[in-house]
Amino acid sequence: MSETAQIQTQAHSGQGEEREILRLSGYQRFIHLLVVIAFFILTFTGIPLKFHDWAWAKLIIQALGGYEVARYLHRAGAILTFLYIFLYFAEVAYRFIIKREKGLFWGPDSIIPRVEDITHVVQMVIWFLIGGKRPKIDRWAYWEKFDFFAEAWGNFLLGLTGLILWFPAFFTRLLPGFAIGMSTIIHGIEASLAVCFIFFIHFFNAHLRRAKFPMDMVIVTGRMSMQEFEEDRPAELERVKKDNALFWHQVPPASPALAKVGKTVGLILLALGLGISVCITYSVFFDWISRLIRFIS
Amino acid sequence: MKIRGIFYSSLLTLLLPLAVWAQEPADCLSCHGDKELKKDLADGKTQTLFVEQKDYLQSVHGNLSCTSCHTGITASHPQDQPGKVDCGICHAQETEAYKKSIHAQAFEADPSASPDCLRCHGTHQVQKSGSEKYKKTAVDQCGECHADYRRTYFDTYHGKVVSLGETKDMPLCWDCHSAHEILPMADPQSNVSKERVLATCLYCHPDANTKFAQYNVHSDKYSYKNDPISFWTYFVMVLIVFFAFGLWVPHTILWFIRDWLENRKKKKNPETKPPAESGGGA
Repeated sequence: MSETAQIQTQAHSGQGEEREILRLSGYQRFIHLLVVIAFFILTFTGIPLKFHDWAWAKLIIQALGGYEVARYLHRAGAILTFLYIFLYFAEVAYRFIIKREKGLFWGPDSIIPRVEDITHVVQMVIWFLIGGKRPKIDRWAYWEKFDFFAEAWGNFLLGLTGLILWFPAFFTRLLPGFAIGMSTIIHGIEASLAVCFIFFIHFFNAHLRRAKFPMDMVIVTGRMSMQEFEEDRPAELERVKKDNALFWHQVPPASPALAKVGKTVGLILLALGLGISVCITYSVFFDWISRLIRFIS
Repeated sequence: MKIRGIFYSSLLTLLLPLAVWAQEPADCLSCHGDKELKKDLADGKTQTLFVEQKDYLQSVHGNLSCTSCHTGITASHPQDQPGKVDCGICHAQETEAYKKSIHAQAFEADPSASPDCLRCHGTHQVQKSGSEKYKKTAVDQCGECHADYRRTYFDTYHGKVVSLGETKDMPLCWDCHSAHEILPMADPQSNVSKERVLATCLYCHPDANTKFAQYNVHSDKYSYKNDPISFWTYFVMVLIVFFAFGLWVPHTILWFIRDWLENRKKKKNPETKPPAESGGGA
């Protein structure tokens, strides 16, 4: 347990209060905050470029203060992205090499997919279709693992093609000229996919489904109520209880001020994100349908 | 005093016929300002002779008299036959350059298939070529004939930025292809020929290299035949999009429906375990 010392002190200082489960460390929440900031900067400065002939895209660019501002903000967003990727791997390396943490790359506490995840998918689909019992999910649900690897894949692809487009003259010393054209296509489509995936699928899975609506505060406070933990992660609770380790996961609740700020900012970003995703989806469908009509006629 | 009087009166006398000859636009517009003014052409069609005063005054030629371009107008107008407007009177260099271009060759063969000066610059509303107003319409202007190249231009970073309204640092058609002396790619003298395209790129990209210049700026992701690399890249990316949403959109919809059904069940039998008060649901 990476957070043992911290949890221990927190647990002892908060005797008598209602206990919550610490699910995400401060460092993890900080990285997620960087991801959110970078993602929003990149989305609102980049997506208008792909959908340049739509009024909403021109409106966003005007609101940002013109294209010159957008292009530098986009590069700032890119640098922030490379920074959080570095910080992420630095922590993984620290936990693996220095703290010699076990179960980082395997087992129920790891983000790496396991055979159980396939079982969970099947059980979940059965639950969707006929109801009954939900799969007993452990620390990371399969949809969270998919989110994680989708984000990693997106970062790799967008980072690489983004660098090619940022420094085309340098990269064409190593790559053929058509790499620029390929990068333009890949960067635009992958970015639209990433934005729509985050705001439609990730937002629903994490925040908008009934149990969490309108926002899961775990990403701000890092904490989950005992009842929610029992409902959402029954396998982890069982495992933790069996190890007699529940005490080490329990912390006093987060400050209400933090939760309030987090919720306000979170809901504004949620609305912004859903807004631009609706614009993207509408534009893509409109384009395809008009092309289909032209093709038929 | 006397000498000065003679000087002024003779100057006035000298300028008097000039004033009649170099008519003010207002004089011409007394007839040509009429929207109904038309001329019957030999082939049975009619041609409008109407001139929009506002367009003309706002054009770069707004301070010229009509007769600077429309030479050969005599006192017997409209019975006379005024000559064709020759832009070369003032713009000799551009006219000479144009005469070497593929446009001029094609125009000679078939005037309807290729542009002369007027087709690109317009007539009375002619704008300064460096002006924002002219730049904004430039790509559409070329795109009237070169529709596919217009479309693929807007697929590139250059075109997208221009489309968002930023023309300052971004190349328009003529920045690569040149404006008047446009030559086909196969001609070694062309700005975009294999031999000279790198020099054209270097104009804005001082660190460009041979392979950089080999990038086909007008690559077409919809053209399977002409551009298989762009086509397949596009195809694979679209497949990835379908894969991701094909998996997750049904998952999300089914989850939403199941949540709704479960909630309805709970409302019907409140004796069962109460639902978790989670996430601070508002």
